[in-house]
Amino acid sequence: MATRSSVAGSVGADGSETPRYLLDETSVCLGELDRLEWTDVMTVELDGLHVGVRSSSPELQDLLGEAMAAHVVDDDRTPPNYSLLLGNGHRSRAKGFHFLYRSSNVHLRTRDPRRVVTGLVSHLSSLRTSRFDGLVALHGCGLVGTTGAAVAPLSLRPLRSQIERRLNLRGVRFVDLPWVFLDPGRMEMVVPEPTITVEASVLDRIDELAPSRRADPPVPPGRYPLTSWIFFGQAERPLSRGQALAAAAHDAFTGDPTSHQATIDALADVMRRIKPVTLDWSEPVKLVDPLVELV
Amino acid sequence: MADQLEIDGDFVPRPRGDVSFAEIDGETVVTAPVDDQQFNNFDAHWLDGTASVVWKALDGSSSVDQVADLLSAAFDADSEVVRADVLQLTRTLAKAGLFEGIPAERPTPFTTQPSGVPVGTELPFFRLFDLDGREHTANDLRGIRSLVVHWSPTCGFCTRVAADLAQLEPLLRTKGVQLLLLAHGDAERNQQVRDDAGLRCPILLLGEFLPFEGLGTPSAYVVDQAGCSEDALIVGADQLMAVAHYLAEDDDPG
Repeated sequence: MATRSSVAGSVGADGSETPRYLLDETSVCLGELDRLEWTDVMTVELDGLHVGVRSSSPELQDLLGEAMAAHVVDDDRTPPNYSLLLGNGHRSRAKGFHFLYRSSNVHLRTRDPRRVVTGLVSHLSSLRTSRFDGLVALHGCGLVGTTGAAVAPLSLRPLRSQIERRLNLRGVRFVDLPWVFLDPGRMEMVVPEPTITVEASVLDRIDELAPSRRADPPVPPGRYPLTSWIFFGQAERPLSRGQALAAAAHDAFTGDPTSHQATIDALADVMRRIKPVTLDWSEPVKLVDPLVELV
Repeated sequence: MADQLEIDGDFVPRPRGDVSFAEIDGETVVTAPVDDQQFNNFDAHWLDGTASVVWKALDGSSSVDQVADLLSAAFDADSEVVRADVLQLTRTLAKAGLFEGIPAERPTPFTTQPSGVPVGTELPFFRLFDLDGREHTANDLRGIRSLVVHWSPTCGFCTRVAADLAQLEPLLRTKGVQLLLLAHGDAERNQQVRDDAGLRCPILLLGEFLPFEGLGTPSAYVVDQAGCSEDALIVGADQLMAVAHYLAEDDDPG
């Protein structure tokens, strides 16, 4: 059970800065996740932000500690923001899968244990606000296919287990980031290079903990032409560009509080140059064909 | 500080200084920053073509009546109809906290990890059974405003607020809001929690229900009479109770 509220950082009476913590869902029972056994939380420090990482085994936690030694600090107040589960899974239908959780949400489900760790590294890198410089960040899912990239609603994430394999087989992959990064001026989705220091040689030992059943590489860092912006709704009542812009703006955030007008202007430009697509999501498997066509 | 109920024809609506907006295809999107201590999120509002014309006329120096007079003359429209429309839109925008001196009326949903059903979208169809074996479907959400809660009888946060929710139930009913719990666990355990707390609402035993898949408990949606989510996903016991109190006390649900 997540028993602590998240806090923001502040400056103490002596002028020293207290750490900032990730705002997490408060007063939420994480259900099955909380009933599993986890290691103690390891704190990863990123520009003053303290992020908690826990694992399903001490061996994995030790490996992560070694790999990210440059960022690990002592702080017993950090909540378990990220949870990594390697092994046979916690549900019979998930057998053989490995998971990366952010709070209670599955962000990554894969048969490739290395991808869980690289996914964590990508997520942690994304938490550095300097990353947002020049880019617009959005709560959403990034999809990259053979012809380009699409922004999809965050609501697609819970459906991922039902459609990801089908999408992968047809050349479409989810981007392993908590957010979508856009360069509106160039109409590109950006998958940034990780910015945190990781001992790559340590990661090679991941196979000793959980042999990979299937290579499942992530979308590599790079820039991908933005071809579609997908919204969920009733296909017979597609969103207007204005409605799409409102939905996009609601999902957007920026590292610079003074740049709201610039961000909304940039998103409006994107919406003028791209046709928003409204898809019915009531039957997830039926999303596969249109998603493949759009990217 | 003004109250949105005090807004009448003499009110001079002045957009907040930190409000941004953009026009596209004759429609307008108005955004305001949300102070969530971590990100710089937006609260975004879509205005159709007519509302966009009104928005542009809200220059901070003209009253609602003056704006209505201006627009009715410009479009040769019935002045009373225009005045009613301008007043209604002004109150709606005021409720959203877009004008100086008027705080947003509704608790701001948790915004750092929005998920679940998009705002304004119909909840996916479900067919579930309550503790007495009666069948319920998504059609039960039509024709009445609902607070649909993702629930677990073994969740400490749910059981902590169960009695408080039970106390609010009669008030919610008088406001035309039905409470519906979609619960994990078996009927016996749920019945025990319902009896202990004094809850009267239906508890539907959860199977596969997409809007809450992968989410913790409690989480919830406010669903309108068309069966569509009114707002972003409600996450956590604290926010659930804030919204439940809001719904129970709201004098103007529209």
